[in-house]
Amino acid sequence: MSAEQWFEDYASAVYSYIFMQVRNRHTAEELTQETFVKVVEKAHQFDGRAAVKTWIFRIAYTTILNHFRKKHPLTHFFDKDFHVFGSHPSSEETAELNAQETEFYEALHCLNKSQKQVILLRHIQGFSTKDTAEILGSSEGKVKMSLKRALDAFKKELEKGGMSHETLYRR
Amino acid sequence: MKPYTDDELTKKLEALKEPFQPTEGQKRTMHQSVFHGESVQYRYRKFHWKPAIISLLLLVSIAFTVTILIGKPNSLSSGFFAKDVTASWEGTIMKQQDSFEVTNYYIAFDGKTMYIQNNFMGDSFMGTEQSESEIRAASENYQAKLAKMKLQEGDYKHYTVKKRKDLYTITVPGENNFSYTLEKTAPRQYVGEDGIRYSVNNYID
Repeated sequence: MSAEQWFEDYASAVYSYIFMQVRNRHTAEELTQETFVKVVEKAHQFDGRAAVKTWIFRIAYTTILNHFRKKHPLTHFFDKDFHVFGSHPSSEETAELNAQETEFYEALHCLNKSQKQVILLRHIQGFSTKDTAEILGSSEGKVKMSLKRALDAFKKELEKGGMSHETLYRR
Repeated sequence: MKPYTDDELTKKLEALKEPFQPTEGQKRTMHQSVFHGESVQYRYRKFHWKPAIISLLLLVSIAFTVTILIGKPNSLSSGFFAKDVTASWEGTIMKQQDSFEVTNYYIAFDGKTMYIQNNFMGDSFMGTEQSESEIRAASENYQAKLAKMKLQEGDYKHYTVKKRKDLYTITVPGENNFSYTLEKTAPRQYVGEDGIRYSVNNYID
């Protein structure tokens, strides 16, 4: 299968994964392009040990990591988005979201970076625990542990925002 | 308030991906950039002033705080952690132990005043067989060397003594202000910053 076909199949998923982290359409486009330029360059190195999608997401993950290292070295070091850089989603991000999705999205951004990553990959992008571990360069056990903590933290953040089981089904 | 189950959260989270998909136009533009080399702009990064200034301020405040808390490595009295031990030095007399070139100090701490006395007897006072001119030369030499000493004879009011680890810094405020640091080398022995050794009459904090 060619790199162009890979782009057709996975560009949208990669873009959404990146956009939900960088929170800016223009930057998400740039980083998606950067990811696929690397995919094209390294296509011959792909050995088929992992699924193509997992491999491409590993490249996307490292590309985002480099982006944050360059852009916000301090926040990257502390593994936390400081609120001074803007914790609330912009209108650009929430234009397509309903109120409940906005609450979920805001709660997601209250988590630390590693918790956010496991939720993004495991639950939003739908990767298995094994694939999530491969993308993050971590172990399956660690991903399971992080995911449990991340979901607990996520629920707490939702409750802080007044979201409940009842609210969930009131749509 | 009933919390969410994991299944409920999973369903809602899966659905969250949809609104963040690129438009067809965006996808086409990215495809053009990647496969036809058109306007790949990812190397350009806009410089953001706000985070840069905040980072800089944060670094400056951290450096400032560290400086205040720790102070200079060899001048520990200026640090935040220095303890004021002035009261315990009340009634102390320090006596210079070994002969130094031009001094033989006695330092007494009495009330709010520190008294520095130099009991050195040099060649010019010894009544040797030296000629008048030799005595005068020796005297001038003595005065010149004495003027360079850190401690000068006199009565100094409102002194303070601050301790950090084994270092004690005596600070004198006012017109003739100066500070002098001593290191405790034994329970009743101290070495001044100029290398002069002292013994004291009692045990002090």
